[in-house]
Amino acid sequence: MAKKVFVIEDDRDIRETIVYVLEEEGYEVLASESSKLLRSVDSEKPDIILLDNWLTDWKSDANGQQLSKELKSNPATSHISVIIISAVSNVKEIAEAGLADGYLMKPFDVSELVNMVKKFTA
Amino acid sequence: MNSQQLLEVLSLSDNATAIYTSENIIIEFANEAMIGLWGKNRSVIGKPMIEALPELEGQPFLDILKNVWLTGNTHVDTNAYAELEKNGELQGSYFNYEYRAVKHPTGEMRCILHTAVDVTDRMLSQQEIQESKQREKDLNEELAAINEELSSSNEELLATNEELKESYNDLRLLNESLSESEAWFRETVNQAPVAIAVLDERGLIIDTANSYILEIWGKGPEIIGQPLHIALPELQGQPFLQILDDVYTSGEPFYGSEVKASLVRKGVLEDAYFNFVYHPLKEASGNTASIIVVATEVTEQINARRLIEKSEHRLNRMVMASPIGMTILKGRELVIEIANENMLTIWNRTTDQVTGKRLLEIFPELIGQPFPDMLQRVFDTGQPFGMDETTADVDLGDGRVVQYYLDFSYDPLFDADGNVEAILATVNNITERVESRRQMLHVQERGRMAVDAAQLGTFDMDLTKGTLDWDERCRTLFGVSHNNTVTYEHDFLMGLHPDDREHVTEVINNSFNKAASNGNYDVEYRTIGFEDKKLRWVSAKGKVFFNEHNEPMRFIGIVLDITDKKEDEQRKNDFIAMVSHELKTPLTSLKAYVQVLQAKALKANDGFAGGALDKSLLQVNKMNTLIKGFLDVARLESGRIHLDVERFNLNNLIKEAVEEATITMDSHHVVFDDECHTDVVADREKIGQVLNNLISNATKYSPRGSNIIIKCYQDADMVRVSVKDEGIGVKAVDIDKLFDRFYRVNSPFTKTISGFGIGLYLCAEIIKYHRGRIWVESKTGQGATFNFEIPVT
Repeated sequence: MAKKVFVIEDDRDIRETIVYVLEEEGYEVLASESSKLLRSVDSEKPDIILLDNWLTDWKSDANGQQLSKELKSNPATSHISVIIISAVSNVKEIAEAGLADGYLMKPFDVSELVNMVKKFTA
Repeated sequence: MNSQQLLEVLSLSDNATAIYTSENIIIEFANEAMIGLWGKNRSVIGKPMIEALPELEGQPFLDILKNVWLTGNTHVDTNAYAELEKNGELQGSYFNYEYRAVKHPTGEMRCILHTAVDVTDRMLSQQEIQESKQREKDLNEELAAINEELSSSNEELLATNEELKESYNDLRLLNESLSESEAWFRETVNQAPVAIAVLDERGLIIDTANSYILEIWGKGPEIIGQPLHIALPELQGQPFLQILDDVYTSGEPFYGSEVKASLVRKGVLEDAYFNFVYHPLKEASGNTASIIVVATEVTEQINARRLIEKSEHRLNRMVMASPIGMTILKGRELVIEIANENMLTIWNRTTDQVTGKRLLEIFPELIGQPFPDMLQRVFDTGQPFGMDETTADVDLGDGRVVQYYLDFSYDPLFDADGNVEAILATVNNITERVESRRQMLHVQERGRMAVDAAQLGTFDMDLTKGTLDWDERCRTLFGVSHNNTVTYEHDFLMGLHPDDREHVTEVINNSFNKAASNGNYDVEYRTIGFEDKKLRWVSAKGKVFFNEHNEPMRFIGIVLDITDKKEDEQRKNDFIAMVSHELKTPLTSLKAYVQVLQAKALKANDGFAGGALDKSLLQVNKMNTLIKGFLDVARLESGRIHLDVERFNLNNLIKEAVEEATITMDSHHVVFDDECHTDVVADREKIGQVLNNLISNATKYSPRGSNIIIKCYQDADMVRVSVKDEGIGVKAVDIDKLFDRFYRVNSPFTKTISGFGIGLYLCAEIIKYHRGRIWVESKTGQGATFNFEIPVT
C-alpha cells in the first residue's frame, strides 16, 4: 500500500510540482493551499506532512512552525513525520523550534525532496 | 733595765730621740723619728754630729751640745729655728728640744739624751695669727671677688650678693672690734642670706654651714664638724668630692652652673639643680686652708625649663612628622622656627632658606594679603584662627608666582606666663583638589548639556551599594512615571522584553568582566512600558568602573530611544524579506520544473533540451544566491542572526568549498595550498558562506584562467584563512570601505560586474559575530588577498 503524503503549500505551481514528482515516485498525495487539510489527519492518517512555513499571512513566520508543534505535541499525531518547507535562511531553526522532523529550503532540488520523503516513509 | 734594753724602748718611741757621747758629739743612737726629723738615714749612726749633719756648721747647736758635755748642764729650748738638709734641700723648721746631760753616779758625763718635737706648724700658725690683720683684709678681698664672680655667673645671686656685700661692710665695721678672724668669718657666713659652707682641710670637715645650706643639704646643724662625705654620704659616686679635692689641690675656684646633685632630704633621695662656687681660702703661704661653698638651688627653674623644652621638643617632632604643611612662627616678627617637609614643598624652599628667617622677609608678597594681619590678631587675642579654601599668592622663588588654594589654621602657642609666644601654622594645599573639582564641575555641566541636547537618558548603578539611579528620560523609556527607588532586578530586568532579557543579561555580565570587555557596554534592547505597556527600542551605551581587584564598582551610561529608527528598520527589513520571499517562490517552482524537465529530457535522450535545462538551472541557482544575500542582510539588520555553532574540521569545509567552486566555475584555477587540520567551534554553514563569497568574489575581479589560492593556518588561539587572487586589486581608498553594506568600488572595470555590494558586508558581519577579524591586503593591479581569522574555540 502506497504511503500517504499531505502537502500544504499556498503557491499553486510549487504545490502541483511537488504532487507531480511524489506521485511519479508512487506516493498517494493529498494537497491543499491551506491548513484546513489537517482537519482530516485523523481520518486520512497520512504518513508524512509537508508543511509550508509561510502561509496566507506573509508577516508571520510561525504558521507552519505552529502547526508542526501542535501535531508533534499531540500524542494522537506525534508519530506523523513533519517536514517544514520555507524560503527563509533560518528554516533549520524554525523546523527545530517547531519540533519538525526535517526541513527543505526553497528553492530545493527535486532530488532533495524525494530523498527527504523516502527517508521518513521507509 | 740595761742600756741595750733602754735603746730598744727608745727606738720604739714616736718622739724623736738621739744619744750622743764625747766632746765630739758622736751619734751613738738615733730613733726613726729623729732620723726622719733630720731628713737622713741610719748611716749617720756612729758618726760625729758635724760629719752627719754638716749643715749645722754656723748654727748654735753644736756649740750648745759641746757645752752640755763639758758642763754637765742640761739645755732646753723652745721654738728654736734650725735649718736641715732634707732631700738635698735646706729647710727651715722650728723645734722644741732638750739636750739632757746623763751622768754616771760618779758625776762624770755618760751621754747626752736629745729629744725634739717639730713645732714648725704650730709656729707657722702663730705667725699666721700675727698676720691675721692682713689675712682679714685678704679674705675680704677674696669674698668681694667671689661676689663679683657669682654676680656674673648668676643673675639671681646678684641681689643676694648685694645684700651680702652690705652685710660684709657692716661686718667689716664689726670686725674691727673682733680679734679672731674665724669668729668674724663664721658670723659672716651664718648671717649671709645665701647658702654658704666652709670646708676645712683636705678632709673637708664642715667648719661652718649656715641655715640655708643646711636646708639645701636637708641636714641639721649636728653635721657641723663632720667630714663632708660622712655628713652627706649620698655624695659618694657623685663628682663633687673629687671637684672639691681638685680645688683644694689646685687652689683654683670651680663654678658649677645648673649642676644636678642627688641629695637625701627629709629621708628621700632627690635630684636637685644648683649654681655654685667652690672657692679656695688660702693661707699666707698660698696653700689652700679651706674651701668656701656658695650655692643657689635652681631646681624649680630647671624643671620648669625642662618641661617647656620637652613639650617644645614634642611639638617640634609632631610638626616634622605631620603629613600636612606645618610651621612654627615665633614672636610677632614671625620668625620661622621650624617648617616641615610639606610646608617647604608648598613654599618651594629648603630648610636652610627659611629657618630663623622672618616670614615676610622671605615672602614679601604676603604683605597686602590678609595673612600677616590674621597672624597678628592671634597674638592679640590668643584665639586660634583658620579658614578653608583660601587663595594665597606665593612667589616660589624661581620666577613662578602661583595661586594656591589652602586650608589653614593658626594656633597660638603660649609661654609659661600665658602670653602668645609663637603660632603653629597648619597649611593644607588643596589646590589640585579644588582645581580638579572645578574642572569636574565644568565637565559635568558640559556633559549634562550634551546629554540634554542629545535627549539621552542616564543610568548610574553603584554595585557596592546595590543602588540604581534612573533619570527622568530613562524612566520614560521603561514606562515609569514615578520617582521612587528603582532596582536592577525589579525595574530593569522586568522592564525588558522577555525575548531580550537573556541576551542583555549576557551583555551586562560581559561588561562586568574587565578582561573580556574592558568595561564597555553597548547593546540594543526592547522594553515593555510598566505603566503604558508600550514597546520601545532602546540603545544603551555605558562603561563599568573597576577597583584594583578588577571587581566592578560602578556602571554608568546613557540610554537613547531608538524606537522610531527601529520601526523604520523593521519596515525596511520586512519589505526586503517579503520581496525576497516573493522572488523565491517563483524561483522554487521554476527550479522544480527545470529539474522535472531535466529528468524527462534525460529519459528522452534529448541532448539540446538537457543542455538548455542545465544552463537554466545554473541561472536559477545564481539568482537564488543573490536573493539569499538579501534575506541574510535583512535578518542581520533586524538583529536576528543566529550562530549555530558546532565543532567541525575547517580543512574539510575549505575542501568542500573548493570542490564546489571547481564544479560550478571552470573559469579559474582554485587551489587549496596550505592545509590546516584544525577543528574549530563555529557556525559551519555561515563560515562556508563566507568562503563561497570570497571565492566567488575573487573570480569576479580576476581574469579568466588565473589562479585563486587558498591558504589556512593556525596562529595560537586563532585560525586564519586567506583567499588570494591575481586580479585588478583594491585601491587604498576602497580598502576600509570594502566591507560596508552596499559599497561598490567605483571604476570602469567594475561597472560590468554584477552584485549588490552585500557579499563582503555579510562576510564581515558573520566574522564579527564569531569574534573574528576580516581584512584585505592589496594594491591596485597586483591582486588582492582577503583574510579572515576566527577563534579556534
